[in-house]
Amino acid sequence: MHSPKKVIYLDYAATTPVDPIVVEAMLPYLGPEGCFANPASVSHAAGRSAREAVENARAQIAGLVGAQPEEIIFTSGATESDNLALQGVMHCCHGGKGHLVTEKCEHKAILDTAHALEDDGHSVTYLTPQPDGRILPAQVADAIREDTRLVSIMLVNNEIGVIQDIAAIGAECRKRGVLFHVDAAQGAGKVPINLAELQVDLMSFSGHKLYGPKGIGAFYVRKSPEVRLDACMHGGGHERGFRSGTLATHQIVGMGKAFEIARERLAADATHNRVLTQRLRDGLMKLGGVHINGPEEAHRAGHILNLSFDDIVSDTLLYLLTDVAVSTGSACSSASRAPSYVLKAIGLSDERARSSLRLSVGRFTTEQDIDHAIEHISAAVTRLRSMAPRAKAG
Amino acid sequence: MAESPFRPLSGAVQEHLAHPRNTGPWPTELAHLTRVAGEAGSRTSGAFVRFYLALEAGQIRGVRYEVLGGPSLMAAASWLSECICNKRASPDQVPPGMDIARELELERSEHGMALLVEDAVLQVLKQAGNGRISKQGS
Repeated sequence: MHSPKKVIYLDYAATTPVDPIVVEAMLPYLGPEGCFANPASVSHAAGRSAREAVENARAQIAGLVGAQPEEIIFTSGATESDNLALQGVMHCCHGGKGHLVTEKCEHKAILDTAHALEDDGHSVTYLTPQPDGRILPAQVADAIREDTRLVSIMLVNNEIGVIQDIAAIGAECRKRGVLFHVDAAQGAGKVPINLAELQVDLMSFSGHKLYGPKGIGAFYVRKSPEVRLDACMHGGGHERGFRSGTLATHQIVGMGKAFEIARERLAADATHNRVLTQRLRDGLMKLGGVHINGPEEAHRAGHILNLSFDDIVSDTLLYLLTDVAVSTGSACSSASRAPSYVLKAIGLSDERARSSLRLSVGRFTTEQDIDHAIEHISAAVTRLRSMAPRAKAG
Repeated sequence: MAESPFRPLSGAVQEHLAHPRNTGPWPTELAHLTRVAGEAGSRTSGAFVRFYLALEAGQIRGVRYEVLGGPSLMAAASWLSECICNKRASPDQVPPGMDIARELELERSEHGMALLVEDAVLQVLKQAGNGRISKQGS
């Protein structure tokens, strides 16, 4: 039996623990005896050492995704990278108002930025996904207009795990001369990415989704054909002028190391995750009245599982799951609980959306964790169902 | 994923969530009594409660409820079930929703849940008063 103090962590899609190897890699870049100098201070050896560490990390990140190191810019996270992509392109070169195409299930970092662009006078098309969450390349093609500047579609959805066909979507964009941005925060290290072959112009990455530290991200900007975009942060012209600000060497080193490990472990991690989510799915399906939300396995990232449970509200289930860390897709709003906008966008009813849980596994999840989670979740669901309304009074 | 404003629950709500009152099968000594049902809310909105009152000579001898909703609704149903048990089957014995909310220290945004359970019990009493007795409840 699990020690009651240990929480079973099944929220890897929200964030991951920093890999101990990454922690070790970061430590030499902190403290007075460490390599703490400003990487921009290349006038002295200490600064040059820090610079070298940054460039090494840049190459490590590029190595996972098939990019050139000089195409990788460091930011504070995928949210900043997403903002830089959308605002940088749409505001670029004082080109007047333009059109952006994205989809309804994107992360809020994209959707909120898109709304802000609309407030600014740009127009945005939000594509409706198929019932399994996928966006068809033809949908993107049909949405592109003469004034479309950018298409932004995420690689892997953070709630339902659907993998978008960014190769085909990128081809449609390139055919029409429209820039294509991909939020790969959830997908990097989970599905193979080769930017040398993909027709993707901009891509966002997150450090903390891949066993790196929080507060650091990366942004891919294609060099050829060249991509023009305006910087959002000014003050020194760092990172090819795209993102000013002193680089956080220790975080960059951490992210680089995390991406290097992910490259080595890509297949092994994918298998590990898939086996565990299948075990979790099979164990919970035994409850009956359990539904998988989103795509079938072939189109779903192996680490995410979104399930709905009949006759419960998942907010209450969460409070009962004191030993299991999972999340729901619902957000509370004033007196009513708004169901997950992602689940609503793929056509689920309010009831089904409100009864959903997102479970996500990772490198440090064990089979024992899964079995104990099944035990705890099953007990909590059974308990709530015992109090649930019957179809009719009586 | 967007941060859910997952609010901490009051001690009173946590207590009722951990130890809900008046759940499970009816005690055998109440099996012979008339039971009346009433409900409020809707399943599609994610907040629904149905109360069953076992009545005898104008008194509420037993209470059971079915609930689909968040922690506040579940706690409110549990709290009210305990409050009205063995009271006179009369609307004036049902605490107003705002009193329930105060007792449970519900956040303002959750006060509606307390009003919902009040409505459900008042509905039961209305049914009982109109002589509309449903089939014997759970």
